Order: sequence, then C-alpha cells, then structure tokens
Amino acid sequence: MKVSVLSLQELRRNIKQRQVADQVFMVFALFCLLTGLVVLIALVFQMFFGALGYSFTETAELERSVIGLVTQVDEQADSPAKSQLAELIQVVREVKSQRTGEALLEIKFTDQERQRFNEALLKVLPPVNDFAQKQSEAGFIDDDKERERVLQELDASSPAIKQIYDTTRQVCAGRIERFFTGAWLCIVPSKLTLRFLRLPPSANHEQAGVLVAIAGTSLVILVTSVLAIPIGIAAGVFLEEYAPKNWFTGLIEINITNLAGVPSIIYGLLALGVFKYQLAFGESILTAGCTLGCLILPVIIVTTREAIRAIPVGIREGAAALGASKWQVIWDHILPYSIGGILTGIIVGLSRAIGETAPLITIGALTFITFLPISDDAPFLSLKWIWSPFTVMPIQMFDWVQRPDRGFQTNASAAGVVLVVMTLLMNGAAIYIRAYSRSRIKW
Amino acid sequence: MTVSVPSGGVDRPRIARQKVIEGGIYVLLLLAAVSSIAITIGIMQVLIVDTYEFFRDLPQKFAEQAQEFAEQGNEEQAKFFKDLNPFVEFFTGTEWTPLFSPARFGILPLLSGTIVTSTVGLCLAIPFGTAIAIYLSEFANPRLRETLKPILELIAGVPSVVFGYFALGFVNPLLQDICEVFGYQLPGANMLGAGLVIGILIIPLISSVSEDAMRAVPVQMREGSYAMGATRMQTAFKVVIPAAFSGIIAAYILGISRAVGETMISAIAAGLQPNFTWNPLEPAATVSAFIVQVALGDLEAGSIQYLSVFAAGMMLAVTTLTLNVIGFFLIRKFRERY
Repeated sequence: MKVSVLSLQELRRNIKQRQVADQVFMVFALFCLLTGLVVLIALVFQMFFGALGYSFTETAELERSVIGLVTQVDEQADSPAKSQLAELIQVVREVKSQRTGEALLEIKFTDQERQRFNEALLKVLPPVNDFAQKQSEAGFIDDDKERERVLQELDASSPAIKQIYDTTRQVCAGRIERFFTGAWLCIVPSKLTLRFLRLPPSANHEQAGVLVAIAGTSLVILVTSVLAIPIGIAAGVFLEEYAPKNWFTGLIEINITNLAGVPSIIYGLLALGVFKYQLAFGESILTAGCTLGCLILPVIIVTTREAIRAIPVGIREGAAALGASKWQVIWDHILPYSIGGILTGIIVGLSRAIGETAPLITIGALTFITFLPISDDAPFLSLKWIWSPFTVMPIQMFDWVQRPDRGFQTNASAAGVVLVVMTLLMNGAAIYIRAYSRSRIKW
Repeated sequence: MTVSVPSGGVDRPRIARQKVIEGGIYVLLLLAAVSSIAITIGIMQVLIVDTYEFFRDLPQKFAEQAQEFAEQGNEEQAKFFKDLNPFVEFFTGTEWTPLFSPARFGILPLLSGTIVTSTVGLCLAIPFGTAIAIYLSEFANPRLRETLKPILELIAGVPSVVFGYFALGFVNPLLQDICEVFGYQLPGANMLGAGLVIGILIIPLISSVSEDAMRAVPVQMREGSYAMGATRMQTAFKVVIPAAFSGIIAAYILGISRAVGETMISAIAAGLQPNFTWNPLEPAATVSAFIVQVALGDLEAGSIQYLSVFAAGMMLAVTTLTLNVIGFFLIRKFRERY
C-alpha cells in the first residue's frame, strides 16, 4: 500500500476541503427537507385559497366563446337555429366586417358593440333573462325548482341555444344569472363556510356541500374499524406471543409485509370481484368497509407487533411467575402497556382509510347521491344502512376535480381543505400519542 | 390489599375452565392471523380467474371484430384481427383501446405511462429521500430528528386525491409557465408534474426506511471512522451507507413499488388517454389510472372491458409483488446482520 505523506499546509487544505464538502452536503440535505415541508405548506395554501370566494370579469373569454359558436351556426347552410340567432349573427357579422385584419379569436368589443351583443344574447336566452330578473329583484333565490324549469325550457329550444347557454354558464362558474344582471361580473362565493358542511351534493356548485360525503365516510370508517381493529390486534398478538417459529408463521409474516405493499387499486379489484359480485354485497357501505378493512389490516398488525415487541420480557416472566395464564398476561399486562403504540397504528390506518379513493372508485361508488344513508327511525338499531349506496369525501372531491366548471373547482378545494384538516389532525394525534406513551413508560 | 387463598388446595375445575378458554382464545387469534392469508388468496383468485377469462374471451372478441370489418369490406383489417394472437397482442401491442371500436388490447402504452411517471418520481425521491435519511441519521441531533421525522411523515398522510389536485392545480401550471419561457407548449395534464408529485409523496417512505437501516449500523463503526479523522459526510458515504446498503436498496424498492401503484395522482394530473410514449412532457394514462377510468363508467360484469381491468391489474400486482418480496428479504438481511 502506498502511503502519501502530506505537508502541514496540504493537510490543512485537505481538512478544509473535507469540511466544506461536509457543509455543502448538509445544506443540500436541509434543502431537500425544506422542499418537502414547502410542498406540504404550498398544498395546504393552494387548497385554502382555492376554496375562498372570488369575483372575476371574463368578458374576453365569454365573448370569444359565444362568437365562436355563433360563427359556427352562421357557417352552416341550413341550421334551424339560424333564424333564432338572427340578431346575434347580425351583430357578430358587423363586428367581423369592421375588423377584417384580426383573427377571430382576438376580437375585442367596444363598449357600444358590447351592449348590442349583450342585448342580442339576452333575446336568445329569454328564460334565463326572466330568471335573472327575478334573481336581481329578490337577491339570491335559493330555488332549484325554478332553475330546473329554466333548464328544461332551454332543453326544449334548439341545440345551438343550449350550447351557448352551457358555454356562458361554464365561463361564469355556473352563475349565468349574475352574468346578465351584474354587468359581466361573475362571483364565486367562498366555500369555507359551515354551510358547505351542511349541504348535500347538488348540480349547482353553490348549493353543493359535503354533508352526504362526510356521513358516508363516517359510516364506512365505522364498518372498517369494527372489522379491522379487532382482527388486526388479535393477529398482531398471535404473531408476537403465540406463533411458533416455523414455515407457516414465516409465510404469514411475508404475506403481511406483502399486503402492506400492494397498491390500493388492487384492493379495489378485490372489492370489485369478490365483495361486489361473488359475495353480492353490491355497491354498499359494507363493501367499502370490507375493502378498507383489508387495506389497513396490515398497518394495524405491523404496529401492534412493534408495540408489543417493545415490552421487556421481564414483564411477561414476572406475571407468569405469579401464576397468570398466557392470556391473563396478555390481557392484564401486554395490551395495557402497548396501547399507546397500538392506538397510533389504528389512527394512522384509519386516516389512510379516510383518504383512499381508488379502491372505492373501482366498486362504482362514484355516484350522485343526495340523500343520507341513514333514513330509518332507529338508524343504529337496524343495520339496513350497511347495504345502502354511499359516497365518501375523497370521491366527492375527485368528482368535483373532474368538472371543468370554475365554481366546482372551489368546491374541490374546499373538500381538499376538509380532507387535509381531517388527516393532518389524525396523524398529529397519532404523533402526540406515540410521543406521550413513550415519555410515560420507562422500562 | 386482600389476597384470596383458595381453600382446600388447587381449584381444579377452575384451571380446567381456564384451559378451555385459553384454547378458544388461541384458535381465535390464529384465525385472525390466518385472515391475512385469506385476503391474499382472495386477491390472487380474483386476478388469476379473471385474467384467465380475459385471455380466453379475447380470440372471440377479435373474431367479432374481424367479422365486422369483413362486412364493411375492409379485408385487410378483417384478416389482421382474424390472425391476432391474444398473448402477442397483449404483451407487444402498442394500442390500448378496450372502450372503443375497434378494441385493441396492447398493454405497452399503459406500461410506458407507468414507467415514465414512476421514473420521474424516483429521480426526485431517491436523491432527496437518501439525503434526508443521511441528514437525520448522521447530522441531526436526536431532538431535531424526533421533531422532523413525524412532520415529514405528515406528507405521506395527505390523501393522494388531494395530492392529485395539487399536481393539477399548482405543479402543472407552474411547469407550463416554466416551459413557456423556453417556448414549449406543455399540455395541462402531463406525466412530468404527476411524476414529481408522486416523488414528493414517496420521499417520506424512502427516507424513513433508509434511516432505520442506517441507524441499525453499530455506533462503533462510526466511531472508528471518526477516530481515523473522517468527516461526517465521509463516514456517511464510506462507512454507514455500504453497511446499510441492503436496507437502503429495500427502501428504494418499496418506493418503486409505491410509485408504480400510485393511482389518483396520475389519474388526475397525467391524463386518462393511453399514449405509447417515453416523453414525460406528454400526457399518458398509467395502468392504475386506466382501471379508475374504466371503473368510472358502467361496467358489465364478465364483459371484455371488465376483464381487461383485471388483466391490467394482474400486471401491476405481479410487478409490485416481485418488488415487495425482494424488498422483504433485503430488509431481513440488514436486520439480521448486526
């Protein structure tokens, strides 16, 4: 081996270099840590601010889309809507004839043109105009029937008009009434209100809330807990205290590790194939509870085992020496001493179950459900509710995320806030319990 | 304290009763432990049976399509579907359109989507996760470590649908703005954004498992290294990481398996269109996103679309199962070594 002898100066330089490298690495690691935290904070902020109300004027976007639609109708030779849209077509033609050089999508109206355009548009959509008039007189009408009537009338009219209505509605976050009365100003109200928690889903984003989803989540989690907690703890106790060291125990162990790593969507396929069709549970709360139960079972088993493993063997021997049977040792000593760790596992597992979306989508839970699953007089005495269809928080959120309507995007954010708050609180509680039970018990 | 002393010696009936109870409890606990195997059997049975049926029904579907094309007079297509081998189609086909007509069943587009999103995620999560693990185990003092670790784990506790919305509403627009600077029009749904968010999601998993492995390295080895004049970084890279190597690899494998199975983030932020591409800037569906997409519609049990979901799921399950088994043995190896 070659040994190189360094001069004192070289040695100092070498030490310096290594220390600098050390510091640089530490800075990089801290940067990585901070990235994680910043993402977490950014996520919370995005959800929070996305759920706040805002108002916006989308003149340009709205005009563009209506001009596009009108031009389409105009270019069709024998469109039945042509006569209905005559005035609107006229306005658009005039505007276009004045701006021959500009691309169609870059046209901006002057105030005068806008007024004419607006009036023409109102004439095309008379039922909406009536509704808007009523709305502006009475403030906000919380009347779905009236809205339904307007929509039906629109359905009866020509597809071109329906399309114009849909477009304007989408651009204006579903509040076309506001668009007509409020001089192009669209208002999306804040969803961070208690009202949001009290309302069932609705086709109108302002009247949509998470009540049914929260009820569904609670009931599904109830079924999950009843199934997974006792079985999980029992399995953990068996593997730590009873199981002989043989191939069968080894098989169970490797199996549990594997189950913990199986993607949740595969549990969804299990639910689809076994629970929904083979056992014929249907798209019910029971199916969802069983699926999530299977999903979190490995989590509970693993944490139970870890908590039990931390108890010194002296406790068991001491109790056994006093004549306690094996089960008495477990019931009177092992379980009480490990309850902190077990509880942590249960909370972490349940918080994961609350957030799981994919396995419940596969059983077909993405349905529009506006009623509470509990409708019986004695809800918890009869177990009929476990057969009822349901929706849960993450699925409700996914449903809203997928809608292009701007108003529903605020709903999605608000649902995200609810979900994040729920899971962060549960995980925080788990961390606290773990720290507390560790600090209290000193072996 | 009162102590009850059994009068007349040993209470034999009571002991006998206790024994019966103990036996009953043993059986109950055993059943609970065995239930986990029942879940596995359930999963395997569903996947295997339906995948078998998928391959059994596929030739019939192809024959139907060949018939249709023959009636339309499109001889070329008719002949193509007539001669199509189900296995060749599934494993080498580059089109996946079970919901459209003509239906094609090549898994490669879904696999490419899955591989690209997970690779992007791992490119972020492996360096970051490892650096965090090294920092927590070698640099941070115990108190800081005990505070930081749970906070990091909070990230893993956020529901994936929320992460998906974050990717769609924050990360993707951000990437779009960045790409616009370079004159590239990035689509609103792309695999890059989804992959990066998946990476963030698995950082805590990688850092926590590899930190466990690093802390299992005996402290004497570190002390020996410090005594030789090594810095913390040199100790970490030349002593601790080689010693904890199997554990760190296990952490990576678990991370890969998690990234491959992640569903909601890719379903929301990477698009739902199967697209055979290796370019992360394009939208493409992953295997799990496809399953979600099909499940969103009405599924008729036993139809070829229904069965295709299980065939796709089988691919996913086999991949993650293999990875998990490797990870399990690697973790056991580092646990046993010291």
